[in-house]
Amino acid sequence: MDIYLIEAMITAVIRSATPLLLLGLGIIISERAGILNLGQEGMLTCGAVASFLTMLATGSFPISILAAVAAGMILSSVFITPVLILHTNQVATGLALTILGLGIAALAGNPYAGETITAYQVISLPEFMSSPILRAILEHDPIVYLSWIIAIGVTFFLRSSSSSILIACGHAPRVATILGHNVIKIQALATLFGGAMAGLAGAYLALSFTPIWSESIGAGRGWIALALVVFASRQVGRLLLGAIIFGSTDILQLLLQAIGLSMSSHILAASPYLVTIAALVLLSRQNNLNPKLREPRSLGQPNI
Amino acid sequence: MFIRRRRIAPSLAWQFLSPPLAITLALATGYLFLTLQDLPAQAILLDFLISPLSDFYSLVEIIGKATPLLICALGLSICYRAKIWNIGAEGQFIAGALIGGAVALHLDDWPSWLSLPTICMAGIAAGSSWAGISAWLKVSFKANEVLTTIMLNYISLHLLAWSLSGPLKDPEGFNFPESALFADSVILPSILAEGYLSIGALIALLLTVLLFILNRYSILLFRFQLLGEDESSARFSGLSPKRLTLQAMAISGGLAGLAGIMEIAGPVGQLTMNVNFGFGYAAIIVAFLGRLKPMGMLFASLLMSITYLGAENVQIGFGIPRATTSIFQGALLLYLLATDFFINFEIRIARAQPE
Amino acid sequence: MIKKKYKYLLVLILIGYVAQSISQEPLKVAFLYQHPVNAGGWSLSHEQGRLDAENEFGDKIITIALEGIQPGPDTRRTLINLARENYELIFATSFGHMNSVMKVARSFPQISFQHASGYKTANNVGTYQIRAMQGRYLAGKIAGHMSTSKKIGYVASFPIPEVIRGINAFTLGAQAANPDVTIQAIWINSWMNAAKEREATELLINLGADVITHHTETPALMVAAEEAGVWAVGYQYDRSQFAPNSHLVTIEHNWGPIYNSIIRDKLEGNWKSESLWFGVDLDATRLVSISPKVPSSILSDIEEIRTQMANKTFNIFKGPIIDIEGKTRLGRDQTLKDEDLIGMEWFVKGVINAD
Repeated sequence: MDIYLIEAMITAVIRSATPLLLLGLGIIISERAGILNLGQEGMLTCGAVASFLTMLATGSFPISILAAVAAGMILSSVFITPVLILHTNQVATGLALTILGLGIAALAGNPYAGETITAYQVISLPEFMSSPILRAILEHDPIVYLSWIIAIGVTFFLRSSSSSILIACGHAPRVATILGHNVIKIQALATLFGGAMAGLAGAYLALSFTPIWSESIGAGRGWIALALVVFASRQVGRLLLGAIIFGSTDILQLLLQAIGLSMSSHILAASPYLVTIAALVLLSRQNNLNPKLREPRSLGQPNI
Repeated sequence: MFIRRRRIAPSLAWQFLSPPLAITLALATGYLFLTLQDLPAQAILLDFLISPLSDFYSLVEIIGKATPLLICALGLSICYRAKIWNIGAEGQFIAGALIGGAVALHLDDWPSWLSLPTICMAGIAAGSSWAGISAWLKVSFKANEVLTTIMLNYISLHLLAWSLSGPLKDPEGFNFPESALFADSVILPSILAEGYLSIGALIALLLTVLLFILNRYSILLFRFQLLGEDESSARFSGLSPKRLTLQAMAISGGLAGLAGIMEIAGPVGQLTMNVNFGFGYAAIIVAFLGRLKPMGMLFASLLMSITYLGAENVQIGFGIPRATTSIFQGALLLYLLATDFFINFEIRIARAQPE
Repeated sequence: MIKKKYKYLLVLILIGYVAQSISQEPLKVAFLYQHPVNAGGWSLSHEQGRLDAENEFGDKIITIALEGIQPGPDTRRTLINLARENYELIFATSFGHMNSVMKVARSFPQISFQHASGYKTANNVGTYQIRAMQGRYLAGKIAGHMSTSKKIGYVASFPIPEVIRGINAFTLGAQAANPDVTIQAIWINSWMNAAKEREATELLINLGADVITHHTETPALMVAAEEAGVWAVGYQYDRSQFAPNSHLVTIEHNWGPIYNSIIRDKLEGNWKSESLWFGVDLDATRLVSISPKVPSSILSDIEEIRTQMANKTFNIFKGPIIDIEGKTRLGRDQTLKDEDLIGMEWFVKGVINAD
């Protein structure tokens, strides 16, 4: 196994983990506020198609990214409005959003499925950072950098005192209301952030990762991200770990195939999911001892 | 200023008004959408909703497609009432189809009256066990069921692929990942003289009635409801949340597995990679559309079924792309969830209140 | 009383009118695709064939294309709907459609069904397929010449005979150019997963491959190869637009001649159930957009072989051929019959990771 291959693997893992990270960050914020949005896959795909079509039309990456973020936010507002105003069941509304989002994306995008765009270019690091391993870890396209910046931002936000209001909305919305906070506004903003992140993840897939568009571009990542956030107990550090675990087992199983391991490719393909469950079981002991890691008490409950 | 106020009791009128209103709203949206695209909206919508109901053959197909949806939804409703968010109906469906199918392939020399119940039992057991894995993880390690059931869905797909490429592969199938066609003795009989409607439809109906009776006249299922409403009360009355969780998941998984094996040993007649038609996820929608009540879910499953068939019709008749089905289904669900609001709430116009 | 000669005239006019209206009645032809047309190469190539047929026959035929038809009851229902709408010639383009076609065909003996890539036939069911392996061999020879690292990567979907044939033919072609070439295959177990295809491509490149080819639907491989600066060989339809510099050649499916031939037979009343397998003789598989960097000496060599294939004087699978386990599959000058090709499940020596 030469160093070149290891670098390539590291890059591949980080790229594979990025959409999961972005989705996860959005889910963490909205879940902390007490909202369970199962519409991730729909928002993700709509973000992807929005950025792809915008890219075809304008050729500008920043505008395409904005389009994706906007698409995600619009879709999440379609979700949060009935939830907050009409107290609709969050699980059902989220599922409706997934179906709606996937349908809209397919309708808008399928006529253009055969088109190409230039992929987002990796930003080269200055020459003095010549270590290959460092390059592999740090040299990526702007959206990946953006995901790191947002991750750091979310971490600091969650540690700051301003996040306590958000967390209160998730645990005890009644109390938060009594204390004078506009719970509806906070939950709405948290959800919109989640939508923006999902849209951004979609933009990454369509503009950089593949970069072509097909209606199954999401490949279930929305659902996997939801599961990873549970695994991470809504903590950013753990989310990153989970995304990397998932991403690396995914790549690893392809590598094991390629070098001729005789294990069935199906079992290898199932390994990321098995590993995630196993990791969750191992980690859950800690969860139960630390009250901070428990699920927000009012997650998914309507605040009436 | 409009304010929302919770009703004292759920409005009966709105329970009946809500679905037709939602359907109307969805149709109106569809009408607008199609007209904006210069398409013959009226003709299309008629073809979408009315033509599936217009002849006997289509009606049979609707019931046939609704059957697995309904059976899965019945199981899910028990879990959801207990606020156990089982997203794994898909995987449990596949598990039932897989194990039941494997048994069916080996029992083709048994008489039907013996082999069919056996394979159904196998399917139920498989689905039940598959759900049981998530339940055990939840009970022993507090592992969240949303995560485990989703992961198990994917794992079951790979398990299916592995079996079809290996032990269950049709020896005369030119190496394609499919099983041999099931022998006639292990195909569920049809309840119709003409055309095919498997006995699964009848079983679905019976299960619905059973669940309805149990909900209304027995206390057996109330414990699950209690667990969902107020866990401490449940504990206080001597129930064990752990045991209830295991039971709920086992029942739900068993029903999903039954749906799976009946679909495979019925209209499909073979085990292939496409055995899951997204029934597991669609069943979640059916459960919510039906408000977790058996009769409601019965109608919801038929409605969903009509939309699937209607979409196929308009594709043949007008070239409308498949994606529009999803949009219509999603919109319908959203509208229904919105109109259901009025069952439990009312809108009042508030005058300025004296301080 | 009308005079006799006028009666005859009347009859003649009537016959003429009826004959004219019958011959003017266009033939309704339906095409079923499992996936959305634009998303994948297979369906797109069929769609191109359909358009070719429309061009060829003008208003003698009416065609309809239905995409997203999933195998199972959905296919059965669609086929029955089409049959009832008097579509007399139906092309089902996906392997998964085969069993539904066989079932439905029994009820509609006057309708002709054609099934692509399958192996079951009936009185009114025929199969049709392209000898893509011929194109694969030729492209493989080009790839073998152009590869400097002697390692070629193959992103493959499922280990089914069609894919295995393609890999073997490609390998034999590459080895004809250079006996030391090895083919490394990664199975992504899906026909269409752009992200996985990309990851697999990058992995193969990092393992040393400098020519990559695929048997999957999306162009993800082409884009990845372009970025890495290695050669890419496309499949199913012209992929050069995705890799302007790295595109070596595409093995294109050309269904037009096949569709024209079958439709012509049906129009003239000569249709019968056959297992059609067309190759380079009908231009059904052809190399397109060959990179200008390929030396003309190689091109003329390829052309020479192609002509021999069309004359049936060149056989790709001609012994001695050893498989990856070292067993001799074909002795000197032995060849494979079509039946052996249809069920091919072994790999020639030189393929790494056959699984």
